[in-house]
Amino acid sequence: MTAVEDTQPESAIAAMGSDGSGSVVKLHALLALVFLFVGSVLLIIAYGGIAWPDSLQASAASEYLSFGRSLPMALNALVFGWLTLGLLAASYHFLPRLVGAPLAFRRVALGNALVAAIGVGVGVVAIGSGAGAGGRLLEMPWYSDAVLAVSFLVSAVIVTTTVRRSDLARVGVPVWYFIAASWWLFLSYTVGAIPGLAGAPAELQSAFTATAVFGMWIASAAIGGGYALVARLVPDVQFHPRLGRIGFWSLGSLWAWTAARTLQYGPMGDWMETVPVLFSSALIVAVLAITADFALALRGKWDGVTRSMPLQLFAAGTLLFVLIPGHMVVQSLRSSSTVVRFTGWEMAFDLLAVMGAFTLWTAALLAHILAAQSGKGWSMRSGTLVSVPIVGGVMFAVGTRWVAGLQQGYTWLAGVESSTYDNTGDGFFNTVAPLQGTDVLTAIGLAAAFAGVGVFLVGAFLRFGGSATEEEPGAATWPDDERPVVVRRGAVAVFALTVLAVFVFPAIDADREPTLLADESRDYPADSIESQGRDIYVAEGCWYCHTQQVRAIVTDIGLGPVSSSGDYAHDPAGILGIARIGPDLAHAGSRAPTDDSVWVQAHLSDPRVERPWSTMPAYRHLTDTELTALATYVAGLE
Amino acid sequence: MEELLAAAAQAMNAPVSMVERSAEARAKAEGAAIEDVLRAWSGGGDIVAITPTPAPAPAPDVAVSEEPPEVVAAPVPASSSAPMDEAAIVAAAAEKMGMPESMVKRSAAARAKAQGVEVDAVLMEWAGVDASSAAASPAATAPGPATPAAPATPAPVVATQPAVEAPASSDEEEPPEPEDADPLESEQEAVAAGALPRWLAALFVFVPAFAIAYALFLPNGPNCGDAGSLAVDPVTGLAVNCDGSAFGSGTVDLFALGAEVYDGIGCTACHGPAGGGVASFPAFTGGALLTTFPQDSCSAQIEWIGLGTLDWPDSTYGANAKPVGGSGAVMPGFAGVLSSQEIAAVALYERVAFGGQDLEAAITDCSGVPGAAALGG
Repeated sequence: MTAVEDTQPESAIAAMGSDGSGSVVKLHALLALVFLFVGSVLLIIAYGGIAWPDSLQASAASEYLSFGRSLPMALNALVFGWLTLGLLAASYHFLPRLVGAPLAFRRVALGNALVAAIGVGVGVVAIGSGAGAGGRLLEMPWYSDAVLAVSFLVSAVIVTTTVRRSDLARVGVPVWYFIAASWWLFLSYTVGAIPGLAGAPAELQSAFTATAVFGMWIASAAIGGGYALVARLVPDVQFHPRLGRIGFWSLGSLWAWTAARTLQYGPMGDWMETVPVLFSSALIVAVLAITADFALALRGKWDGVTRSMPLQLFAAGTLLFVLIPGHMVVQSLRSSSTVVRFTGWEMAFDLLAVMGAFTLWTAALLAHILAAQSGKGWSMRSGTLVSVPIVGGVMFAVGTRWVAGLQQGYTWLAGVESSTYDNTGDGFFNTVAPLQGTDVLTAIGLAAAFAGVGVFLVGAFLRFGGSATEEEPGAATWPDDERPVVVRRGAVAVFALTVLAVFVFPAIDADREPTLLADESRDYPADSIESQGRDIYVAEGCWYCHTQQVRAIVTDIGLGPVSSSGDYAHDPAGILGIARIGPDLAHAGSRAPTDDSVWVQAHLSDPRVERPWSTMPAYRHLTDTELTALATYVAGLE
Repeated sequence: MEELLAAAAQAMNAPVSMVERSAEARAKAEGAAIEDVLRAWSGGGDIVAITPTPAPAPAPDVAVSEEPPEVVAAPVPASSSAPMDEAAIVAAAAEKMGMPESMVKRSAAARAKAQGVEVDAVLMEWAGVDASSAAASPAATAPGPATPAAPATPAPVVATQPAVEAPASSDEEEPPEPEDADPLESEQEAVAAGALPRWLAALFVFVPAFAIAYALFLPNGPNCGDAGSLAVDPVTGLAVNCDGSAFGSGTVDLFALGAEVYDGIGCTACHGPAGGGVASFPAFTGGALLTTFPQDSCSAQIEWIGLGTLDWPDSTYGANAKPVGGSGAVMPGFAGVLSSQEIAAVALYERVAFGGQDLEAAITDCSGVPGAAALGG
């Protein structure tokens, strides 16, 4: 790019100060922090909206803040704004110091940060204004997807070129993670951005992308940062030669295979349901290897960890990270998924991973970077003030969802045997009662976590002012190293295998032939009122609380004919749903009173008139035409 | 003062506030000026802009006067060109020892750990490079601070490790014993250092094995009846019992009920959980059941289960005229223990699960008998 970048290492390293990678890192970090604030506020609003469903109705912004819009806004802002930009900042900070070469394409990287932030910002606003595209973490509209896919490609090229320019023949563990994660981000997001899929393939696409972004990008980049962080802050730390390698390759190659755990008992092939059982159990190996590598390296040095604020945060994040495969195993095993599937249990994952482990990790990395760049260290008290509320608040919120989810699941099972409830209608309240009893507690837990986030945000913003000091490039020796090209090709190969096995083959294997049901009652002509209604259903995020799938298991008795993948042949992603905060709607049009579009429309406008226990937001922000379309669509689901 | 603080914090990789407090304490203890302490900690003259004095000299002084609990091995914020240096040293050592570079590095790491010295120092010794000159010469061209001569620093980050000599202060140390460089021994050491803790290695084998075993064998298969799964009626599309009967009040899943009774009432004690028999008690598997009670004789089997060996009126039973109690085994009659529905269900379960009879055929077979007709089978 410029003359500066083509210089030799010595002068290049001199350029690494405030006018080098520093400004790139700072810009990424600043934008990330803005998204952290926005995202965590939205998350509290989302769960607060369930706990106090009428609270937002008077607000002028209520339209943007219904659960079905605010939750995807929060998750997209946190995942693609906060975590992604924050971890890119960490990659750009540590990478030059690890390989002893300046960051490549610094000006491009500066622009790229703005492009990504605008892409995410526009996408989040679009979701909020009712233009969400459906599919978990794929809600941002196509223009945001296009911008982000290009932006992520650029960041992968920046990372790769930086390593290449270092002329290092072999690189250590953290560099593996940075290289691989940057490509995994681009590849996962690009697969998710493929437009135009419908039915089972679209659902598989959504499940795959959400899982791959979490495991292959966020977890990988954060762990790479963790290795670099520990090597910088703890003297004489010795990592294990083999554990690092086992952890790296197993994390990348196992996590995304668990994608179909969110489709257990759904309308997919049986073999597809055995895969997540296998891989979420095996993921324990990756988590074990990584945590053991850190634990063994820090043996006898814990004193130092507790006295360093970034290390404190990182350790707290790792504490929550260890719980993630456990959560996944329970979701995957058929015996336990019979109980927890579609319950409040499912919602705990986002809180545990996004708001818990990943946020703590990214905060740890940014805390170190901002302190190093400003010369202003963090006190140990600030570490406690950040990590204790986040760990405590998130675990409290997660715990309430776990317990309520188990209660909800066992209520379903017991109810079938004793016929004490109806799976639909007023009887449905019995099954969401445990959930609603804890909604307020979940919101309180998230608010407590936000206290920690707030302390971190204030501290972080205060550290943008200081003058950057020259920082010596790190030269931690790594007990195990690898040629960068092997890492890059291996990462792409792992991704190719995963996407084939978890998305492409199952999509081909799934029955995509429309069933009679699909052709007779779900094949809406374009621009028909039902088609408009379905678009609103997806954009409003109705599917965050309503499923449209009936499984051949005892808890779904009474919901109508069992769903098969061909039933969705004409539907976009997001119809299957993920949880039953409200009743299943797969055959809502075949039973009273939801077969009456007038009743549905009245219920949407004022849910608590007919069903006082309902936590559904009132959809008064929709126009009468939109409400009619939505009600007609739901009442027509025979 | 501010600059010095920043430089010291930089060199020590510690927060400024912490460095300031440590420096104050040190200065007080030694009766020195804070600036002097900080200058020493910041790596002497390494940060040119701040302290033009070259002087790596103060470093050892400070190091010597350290009190042990406060001392850790210098974090050695290694020199800017270190990756290059190290690669070169490794290459030299490898050439000298005639070993692959990767092995040399691992061996060096193991040796360094064993001896409590820096990896670089080991490598330099092996490469036959004088430590101080190797460290000094490349760094001279780079602006980066902190050759390995960085002073032993007070421990703002970690202080639990006992003091370890930094390599630069080990100029006078004896060169390693010749046999230390024996590649074979080094390799063994490397293997030892690279070995996983046993419990961890065991878990790495156990966890995937568990995952595979669970996926293959435990009740998570796609079989109807496992983990609450049901069958689907091909006509209505509704979820139904595994035997095809409608789910709900008034209907019973005979197969599931039979399995429950078989496991619950104690049939497993004599006939085995998989119908394989126990000791002299007869097995159902291997075609034995359908030999004694063939197609269309579910009613005979139901009668047999109800009466048992003691109440059976004849001396033989079944199509192959087995002698009652011929094997010396006694079976109680279950007529007073189980309902006729439960007896029919357990007969059906045994015929399907262990006898290998088709489920549909068994339903027809067993539902024609009294007690089963009312089951909606």
